[in-house]
Order: sequence, then structure tokens, then C-alpha cells
Amino acid sequence: MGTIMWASSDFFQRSLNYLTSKATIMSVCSTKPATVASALGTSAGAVRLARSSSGTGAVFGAPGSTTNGWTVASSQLTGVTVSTSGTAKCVAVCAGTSVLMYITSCADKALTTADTVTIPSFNVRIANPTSS
Amino acid sequence: MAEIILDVKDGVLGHRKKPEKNPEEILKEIIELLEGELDGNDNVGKQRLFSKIA
Repeated sequence: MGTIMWASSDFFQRSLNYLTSKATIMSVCSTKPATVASALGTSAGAVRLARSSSGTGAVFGAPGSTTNGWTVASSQLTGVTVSTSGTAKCVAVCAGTSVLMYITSCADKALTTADTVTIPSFNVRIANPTSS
Repeated sequence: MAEIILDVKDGVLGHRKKPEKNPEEILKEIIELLEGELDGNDNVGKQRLFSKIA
């Protein structure tokens, strides 16, 4: 018999619901932020180029099953104003202004102050367990 | 002012990307290349090279 590995639907849903229930802000950054302050702030050390407002509510939908695990999709955000010129390299997802939750890459894109950015929908998936 | 559309990557948690070639295959290719570069009679040179690789 091969290796037996399994995780319950509840396990996947609760894990991905962390994003669905908490994430409210996305920030476009010039490099990987180490802290939520770096992802969202504009003071020294901050890497934010543009961020959505904190009043937009949830930025992820409900988790759903796939052929390999479960996935959750972000909502597309449009009209996010660029506050600092630079090259966008990643998008940080935050729970309000208090927690840095998740970071994903984006293709390098030059941004100029006062441009507006569209952050298209992207997926976060937890794959079915496999042996290490 | 411009409207910029980002190309954001999907993510998979816990997924391990397998290397395209395993280390043994890569080493075998290196040895074959080195053998091609060495004179067939240069056994001392071969031994020196292979001992460094090993």
C-alpha cells in the first residue's frame, strides 16, 4: 500500500478562511516587506508603492475545493493610487494595519506616483498533503 | 497618469517543485563533458579531476 495522507475539508476551509475573514488591505511593494509597517507605511524602511484603503472590507472570497486541495481567490482591486514611484515586485495582504498575512510575487512593473494600479484576482491554494 | 495592471502570481502552500534534473544526472553529464575534453591517455589528469568531483 502506498503512503496514506489526508486532510479534512474543515482543515482546508479553516486555514483559508484566515484570509477570507481577516484580510482587508493589499499593498503593492518594491521588495518583500518584513513587517506590516513596512508593507503599509511610508516612513523610512517602508517598501510600499501603493495600497488599497482600509475601508474596503474583505479582499478574499470563500474557499472552494479543487482537484488538488482547496483554493481561495482574491477580489480584483482597481484604482489603487501609487504614492511612491518604483518597481512593483510583490503584493502584500494585510489584516487591517496590524498583521502581515501573505505575500505573492508579481511581474516587475514600473509605477509612477499618481498612477493607478489594478491588482487582478489571484488564487491561494493549499494542496493535498503528500509525504515529505 | 496611467492605469497599470499587475500580473500577480497564484500561490500554492506546501507544494514542492521538483528539480528538473536530479544531482546524479547533472554530475554524470559533467563527467561526460570532462572526459570529452581530456586526452584518452591522460589517466593522471582524469584521476585528479575525478578525485576532486568525488
